Amino acid sequence: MTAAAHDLMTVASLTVDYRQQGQWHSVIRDLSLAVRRGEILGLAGESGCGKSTLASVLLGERRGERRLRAGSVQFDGIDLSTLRARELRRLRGVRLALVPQNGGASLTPTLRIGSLFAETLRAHRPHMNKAELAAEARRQLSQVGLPDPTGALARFPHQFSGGQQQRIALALALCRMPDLLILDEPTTGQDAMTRRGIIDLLIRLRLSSRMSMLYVSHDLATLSEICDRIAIMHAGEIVEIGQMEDVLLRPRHPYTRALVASIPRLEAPPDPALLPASRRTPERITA
Amino acid sequence: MRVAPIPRLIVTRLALSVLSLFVVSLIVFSAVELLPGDTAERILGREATKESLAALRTQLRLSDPAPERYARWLGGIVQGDFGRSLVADRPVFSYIAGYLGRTLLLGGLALLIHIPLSIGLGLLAAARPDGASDLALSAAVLIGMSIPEFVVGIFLIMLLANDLQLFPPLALIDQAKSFGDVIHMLALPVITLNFAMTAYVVRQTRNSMIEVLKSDYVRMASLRGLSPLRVLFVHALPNALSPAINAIALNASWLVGGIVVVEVVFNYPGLGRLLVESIRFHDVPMIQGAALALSAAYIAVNLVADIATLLLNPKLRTRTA
Amino acid sequence: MTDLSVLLESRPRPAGRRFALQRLPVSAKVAGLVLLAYAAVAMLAPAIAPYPPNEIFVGSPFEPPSAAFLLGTDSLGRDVLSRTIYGSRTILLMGGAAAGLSASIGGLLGMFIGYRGGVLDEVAMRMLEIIMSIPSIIFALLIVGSLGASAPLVAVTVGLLSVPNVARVVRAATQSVASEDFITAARARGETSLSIVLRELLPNVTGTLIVEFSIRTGYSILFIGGLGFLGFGAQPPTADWGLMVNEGRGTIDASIWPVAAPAAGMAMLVTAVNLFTDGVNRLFGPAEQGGVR
Ligand SMILES: Nc1ncnc2c1ncn2[C@@H]1O[C@H](COP(=O)(O)OP(=O)(O)OP(=O)(O)O)[C@@H](O)[C@H]1O
Ligand SMILES: [Mg+2]
Repeated sequence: MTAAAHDLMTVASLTVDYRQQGQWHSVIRDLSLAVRRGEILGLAGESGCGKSTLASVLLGERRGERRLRAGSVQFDGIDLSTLRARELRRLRGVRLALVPQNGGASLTPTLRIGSLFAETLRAHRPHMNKAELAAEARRQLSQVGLPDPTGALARFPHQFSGGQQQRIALALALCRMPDLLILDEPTTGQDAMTRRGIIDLLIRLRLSSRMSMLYVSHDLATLSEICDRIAIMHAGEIVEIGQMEDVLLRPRHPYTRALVASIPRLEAPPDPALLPASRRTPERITA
Repeated sequence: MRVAPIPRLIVTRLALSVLSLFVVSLIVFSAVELLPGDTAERILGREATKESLAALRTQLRLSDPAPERYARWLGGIVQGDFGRSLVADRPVFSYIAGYLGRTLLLGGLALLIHIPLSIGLGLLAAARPDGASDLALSAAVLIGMSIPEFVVGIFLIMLLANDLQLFPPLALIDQAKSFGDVIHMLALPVITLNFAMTAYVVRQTRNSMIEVLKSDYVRMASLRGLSPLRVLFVHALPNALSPAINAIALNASWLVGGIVVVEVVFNYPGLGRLLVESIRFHDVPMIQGAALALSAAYIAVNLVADIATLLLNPKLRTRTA
Repeated sequence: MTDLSVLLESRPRPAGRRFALQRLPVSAKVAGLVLLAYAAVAMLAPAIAPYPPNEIFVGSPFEPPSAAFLLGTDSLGRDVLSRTIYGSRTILLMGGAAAGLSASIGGLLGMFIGYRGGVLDEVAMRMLEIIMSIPSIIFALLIVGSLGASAPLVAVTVGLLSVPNVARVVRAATQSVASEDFITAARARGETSLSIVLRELLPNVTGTLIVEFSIRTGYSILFIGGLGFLGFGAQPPTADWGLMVNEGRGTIDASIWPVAAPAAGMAMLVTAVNLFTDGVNRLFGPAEQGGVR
């Protein structure tokens, strides 16, 4: 197999700059990475190292305050930077989908959940009728464990909790069954049970449809449950990439070592005495 | 929880509006009580004899206490009886309707131009978010806010009517023969009214559109593969509109006041000018009718603006209050 | 309340307030100078006006600008420049009085209901809302029309009509201060409501009051100008800008100066007031106040 045949998304020597006060600053530097067909690749790294930037560049997003200074991004052999807007649009949502980091803010406040699904489904399949659209949206919403999917369709984003909004964003990304799903911290704000459910869903999806995923998180514990390979990002570069066990058990880069060392060993409830004073049960103050 | 409590909010606003109207009626009634002389003297004029005055006073029951006369007056108004004009000696009601219609025509036309014009310009300005357009807009807002509408109107008459002869200087709409005539005559007053209103809404629209275009949901809408038109008009615009609507609502209520002056500038036979003229002639029933009708228009405009803001904001729309 | 130190706490004196004027944006400083110039012209009117403002036929009617009449003469042969100079007196006096009235009454009312809260606040707010839902111009026309137009009555009416607007803003500013420690301390010291409002709250809402006064000045000038134009302001032969525009507009073909001079004076004055308002608002506006405190 050639590299191109078993890699779905290839990033080669990518450098991305942001403009701030008229100056360009590199946020991603000479980064190379490939997501293979059917794999779940984890991407970990500290806050601000450029993970979300990379995720949106992978969808071919073009923005005024950002430029791709060097390198290329290829999806299934297609160079995204040379695509015309219309061709790019045909990829997005259909073959390439993103679950954004801040799911709640990614839902248009003036539209009901039902309309968000309808327009997303219809954008590429104009012939679905209302009943089909609603049925499909309900199926997706119950898949991510949202209670009362039927009622949810008639509601607005702000009527859901942060964790529920995140799951709605996930369902929206899933509804076209993309070839590559990019997830930017999809489980932040979820309780342990729901996180378990989402992870199980992603694993099931991967098995049933061979969907490829790039799973961005700084939570190594979650990544270790779900990913085949993991890439460690630091200050805009990939410092280490390899099989999950290799990286976790034999970290080579100092940053990876520090990261692995910081995984909590067991999840015991915190000792109340160690909590900051503000979180302790208040003692009654008498006058 | 899923039932939007919007009807209840609307009913509350409606009740408040009715209360306001009631207060207006009280004020209108008490204000004209302060006028020198009484109704009998005004009706009969200077040459009236004592006897005829006394007779008319009994006939009109002018010696009744004020609250009683107020109740009777209000009762009449509720039934559409605004009394007779002292100057024109015709029922006030028949007058008011025509004048109100013409005021609404002028105001409505001004808004009809104002809303798409200012929002459109705001969107255009948002497409080029640089410092220069911002500065120009701020300057325009300042100038629009600072030059009184009667000054704008008079200079427009000088420039566009007298020098360039593009439009008639006065909006003598009774002489209009066709709809084209009406538009031609109303052009200057409409421009005058828009002069003060436009820049502020343009700036609000521009600023909020720039914010919204940067938002996560607009970015995600296009990252979901939606068409640019859909992203712009379904995802961005409705969310950018709320500050613009607020500004337009403010303008609409300003309009009811501003229109009084503009009607006088252009000799336009609307309610505002009718009110001003009837106050000059101490034509009490006409003053009362015109003031009430104009206030009602103002209150109605505010009500509509409130409801529009409410309907456009899903957070308010679904608030469980 | 066990901590006694709170009783000793005095009201905060935000740093830099004293130098507030220096921190105004340049545009506001320029506007301030323009306003000072207006005030100087108004005060020195008798000294600088070349003719008595109301004396007719100092020249022939509709003279164009010349060395003798810098801005020409009006239909009665009065000197337009002199009338315009005297007109600044009328508008500054009336506008200033109206704004001062609304700022003082509205300020006191706002502080009082904001501080007392409760039912009083509820009722007062509803009443203010209702008053604000009535168009001011109609209110003013009715009152001035019934009582007979005169400059003092117009100033008082326009001032009173703005009381609800000021009261609402000041009330909000007061509420955000009223819960702070130094107020609690003052109450614990047994100060009366009136004394707390005047001695503790007032210094802390001064910024808001200055902004409101400035806003109301611009608003009142425009409003009074409009009433004057309608014939419900100062009465002839007073040199009043609104009135002058109205008197001159019928003969604008003969001479534009009797209209242009007061109109320009008005536009420039309100522009300066609005620029100044913008500046003080940036210094003392709600957002900045939070930052200073
Ligand atoms: N629009 C922008 N303009 C300028 N700089 C930006 C912009 N967006 C992001 N950056 C900068 O780029 C860097 C990477 O940001 P990015 O959001 O990709 O980080 P991240 O790895 O996703 O962090 P986190 O884990 O906190 O989500 C940051 O230093 C950030 O300050
Ligand atoms: Mg991120």
